[in-house]
Amino acid sequence: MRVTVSIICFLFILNAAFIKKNVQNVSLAKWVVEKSSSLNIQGETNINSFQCDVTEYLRADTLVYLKNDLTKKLSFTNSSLVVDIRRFDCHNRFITDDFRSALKADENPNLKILFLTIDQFSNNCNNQVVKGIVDVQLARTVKRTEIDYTVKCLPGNRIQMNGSHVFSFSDFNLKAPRKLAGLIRTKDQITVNFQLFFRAL
Amino acid sequence: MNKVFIAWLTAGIVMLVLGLGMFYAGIYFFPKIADEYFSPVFRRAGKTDWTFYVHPFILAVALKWFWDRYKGIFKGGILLRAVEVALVYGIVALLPILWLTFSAIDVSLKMIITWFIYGIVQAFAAGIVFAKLNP
Repeated sequence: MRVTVSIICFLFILNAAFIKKNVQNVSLAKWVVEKSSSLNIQGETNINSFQCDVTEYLRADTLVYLKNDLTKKLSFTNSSLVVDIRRFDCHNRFITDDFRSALKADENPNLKILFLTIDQFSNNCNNQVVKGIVDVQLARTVKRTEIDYTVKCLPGNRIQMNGSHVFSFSDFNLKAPRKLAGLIRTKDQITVNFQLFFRAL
Repeated sequence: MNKVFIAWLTAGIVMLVLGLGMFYAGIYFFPKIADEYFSPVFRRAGKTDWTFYVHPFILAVALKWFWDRYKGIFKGGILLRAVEVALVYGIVALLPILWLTFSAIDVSLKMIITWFIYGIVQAFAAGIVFAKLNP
């Protein structure tokens, strides 16, 4: 009996020490998304290639995360970027209208990128490539995606994160635009490029 | 009857193939104009796609009737008679309807001109078929 109690006590102390050590290595931090952040989508039709841009991020969003100093992993808590699809400009009024329509902008005007984690993030970040996981929500469909970011630290406690990922319209149960009985068509795959600027708080 | 059917079917197939060829040539040589097909005024591909591919056969019926009715007034060789059919079709049918289309629908003049040329060439091809198979 005495041995059992001793073992339980030992395990309890060990566990408490482990938890304490872990808590000591975790810190809460925030990034504010800067207006200069931008996102563009590149696609191709059987006529031309096109690019749709949103060059200004107008919402004052803040990303909140827990950073584990041991693993250098950032775990975000309910932190997302929301882009208004109706602000996409494809530099051609026909393609802009059609692209917004294909993304069902009238019914679901927001493209939401929910940050989940970023691995191996260090403060010494000169063009280091880190992996992150995000949930992309578009047209009421969510797709979990792994993205490689190139991270650059800028003066004034600012961080630049560039990334790119190839999506398909079908990932979000959308149909790539097709006109004239399918003779005019947009390829299903589109490349989403983003350049995000954060200011660390 | 059999001869009429063969002439109609041949003209329809020739106009369909020619139409697709001209369409892709248009995309290749005039991509800026072709971009306009993404305009919301054009229907999205879907259930009505078949109607697009049937249009040369509808046109072939109309041109075949016209040919049978008025072929006597077109004199000369095959090519000359085909040119006359194409010009009559262009002036009597295409020009007014494309004028109306331009006035009512948001399509550019360049796009309308491509349709005019497209229709004239199709009617010319049908004229050759009819002049050859049913002189």
